[in-house]
Amino acid sequence: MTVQITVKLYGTLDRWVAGYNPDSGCGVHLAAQSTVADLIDHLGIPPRSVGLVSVNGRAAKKADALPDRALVKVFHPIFGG
Amino acid sequence: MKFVRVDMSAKTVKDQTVPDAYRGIGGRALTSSYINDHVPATCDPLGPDNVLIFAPGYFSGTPLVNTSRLSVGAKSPLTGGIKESNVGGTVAAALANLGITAIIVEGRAPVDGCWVLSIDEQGRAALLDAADCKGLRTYALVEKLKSIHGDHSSVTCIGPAGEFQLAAASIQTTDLDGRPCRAAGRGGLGAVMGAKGLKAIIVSRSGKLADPLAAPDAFKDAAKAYAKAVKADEFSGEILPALGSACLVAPINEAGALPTRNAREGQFEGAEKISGETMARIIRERGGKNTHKGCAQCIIDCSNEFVDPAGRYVTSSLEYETIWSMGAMIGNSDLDAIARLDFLCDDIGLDTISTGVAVAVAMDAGYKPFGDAAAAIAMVEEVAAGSVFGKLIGNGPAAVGRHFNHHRVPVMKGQSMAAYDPRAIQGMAVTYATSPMGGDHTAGWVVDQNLEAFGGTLDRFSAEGQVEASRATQLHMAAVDSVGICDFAQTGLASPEGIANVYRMMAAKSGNPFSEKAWQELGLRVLRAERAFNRRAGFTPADDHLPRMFYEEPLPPYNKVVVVSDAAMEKTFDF
Ligand code: SF4
Repeated sequence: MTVQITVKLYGTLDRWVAGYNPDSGCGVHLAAQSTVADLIDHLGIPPRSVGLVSVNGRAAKKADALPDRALVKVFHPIFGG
Repeated sequence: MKFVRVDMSAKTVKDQTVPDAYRGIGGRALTSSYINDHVPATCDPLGPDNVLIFAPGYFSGTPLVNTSRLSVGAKSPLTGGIKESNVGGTVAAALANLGITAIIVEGRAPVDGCWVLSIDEQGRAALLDAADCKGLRTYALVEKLKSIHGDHSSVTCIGPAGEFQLAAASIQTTDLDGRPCRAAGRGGLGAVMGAKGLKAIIVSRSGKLADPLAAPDAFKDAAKAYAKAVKADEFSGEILPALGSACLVAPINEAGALPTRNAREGQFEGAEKISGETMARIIRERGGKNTHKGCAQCIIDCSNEFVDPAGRYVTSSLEYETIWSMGAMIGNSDLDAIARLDFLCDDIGLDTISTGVAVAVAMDAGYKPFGDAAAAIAMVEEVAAGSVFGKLIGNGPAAVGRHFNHHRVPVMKGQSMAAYDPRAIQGMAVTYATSPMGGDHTAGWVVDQNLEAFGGTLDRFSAEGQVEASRATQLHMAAVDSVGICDFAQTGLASPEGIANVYRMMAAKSGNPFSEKAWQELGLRVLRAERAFNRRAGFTPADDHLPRMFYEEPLPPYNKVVVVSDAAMEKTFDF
């Protein structure tokens, strides 16, 4: 069993995914029960480069499981004001 | 090390050696101490007793990067309290390179007087009659002044809004390209400058008279390490250069914290159209400029030049707060209209935040529909035309709310909040409520703690830890605003080694030891002075609360309200 995820990357995080298309994002297949942390690991993005992550429009934590066909948005950390 | 003292009533200018009480400080520490010591707190902010003071940060004019920051202080006509508004560009470095610790403007020229203060490369200052500059918008004014004074000067000026003495009037200053596009926006200090009859300050950028450093080599070592940290950080080294502060639109919107349609919602359906990612792409495609250097000695280049489809200049720099205030806050997803509104505010001399929120309140009251960008542009143009309605908009959201008898007005101490809804980031509720500045995001930005590391090291919907975070950040920022480091270069001091470099530079400039304790005392000195002034001006603990809408109206999509109690707000500062 796998889950199919659509990922959208913000800031300069797109550099971690070759050929990333900012309009459509990228599709990823992961084992069922995979978490937000698993997805970040799969994408090869260092966790310190990640700030907020949302799953289907809601802020998510690292250990949250990803439902099938989820839209996941990954944002960079922010600073400054 | 001198004050340039300008008496607008007597039309005199004289130099004064910096008195002992104000030695070793700059920026906000200097402006707020001076205002607290010398301005009668109950005076009319637009009268002759108010003082307008311009002070470069303590590090301005040194080899440290990102330190051309100018603090402007006075009693605010918008809040009725003390105000420090700071701005980048080139003027702070220019003043510091002339050995000028502050310009202090007192008195008031006769009504209809219009003067400019000119400071040459030797630091000699003169007041010049500028009746022919009266009424000019800032871009035209700068062109005119450049043709007379040459273009290697910085110009710090007001537009028509300042001349009309409107409470949301900004003071604009020129960037490295000589455009008056950088704003000391908050608090209506442009109105104070207008009331004094001072249209512009022209400062030579050729000065070579900077205060000497007590230990130049030690300073340079620490400054080098600091710059390295700023470059190495992903946010200041990579993301800000690529997208500017507009990189905040998407994450803040996703967090449900982007105030939309006068803060009726926390997410804007048009956010993707006005995000930093979209803006940078449009600028690239049209041949504008991303990664643009706005301020002297900057190594981050968060600025940009937004152009129209034909590649013609529209504005610089399109930033997060303006994209919010003229975008989501008024329900407008047309980035070209936002850019036009940004330019108009700079040109007329208006704070983009207060002006956008004033338009949002008018729309919320039913004057025009949300999302009507043409109506927003017309409202801002009315400010320059001097119409009655334009004066309402130019006096900010509280004035508009009073006019329409409309009670959804997101202001604190009379000044509008910024682009972070306090219901979705509780720490911002504390900062907005308790900052002596009124609704102000830079005074105590606690967004990172609430969103970092996969959704925050603080629970952003809980009161837990938010007062402490806001208090610590407000004290820290008071010190940062005093040394004059750009907010975005704070990545250089975010680590223990980074802040230690700042202490080393403080010691190396002054020749006196400087410790963490001294840093905290610097922040405390500022907040104490500001709170003391506000108390004398009539502020009470009740002024450290938020408007009812934030406690009573749940904010979609998370449907939360502010949960930090009034008692906790009042205890944020116990002095
Ligand atoms: S990062 Fe931006 S605001 Fe800061 S000094 Fe550079 S251009 Fe100016």
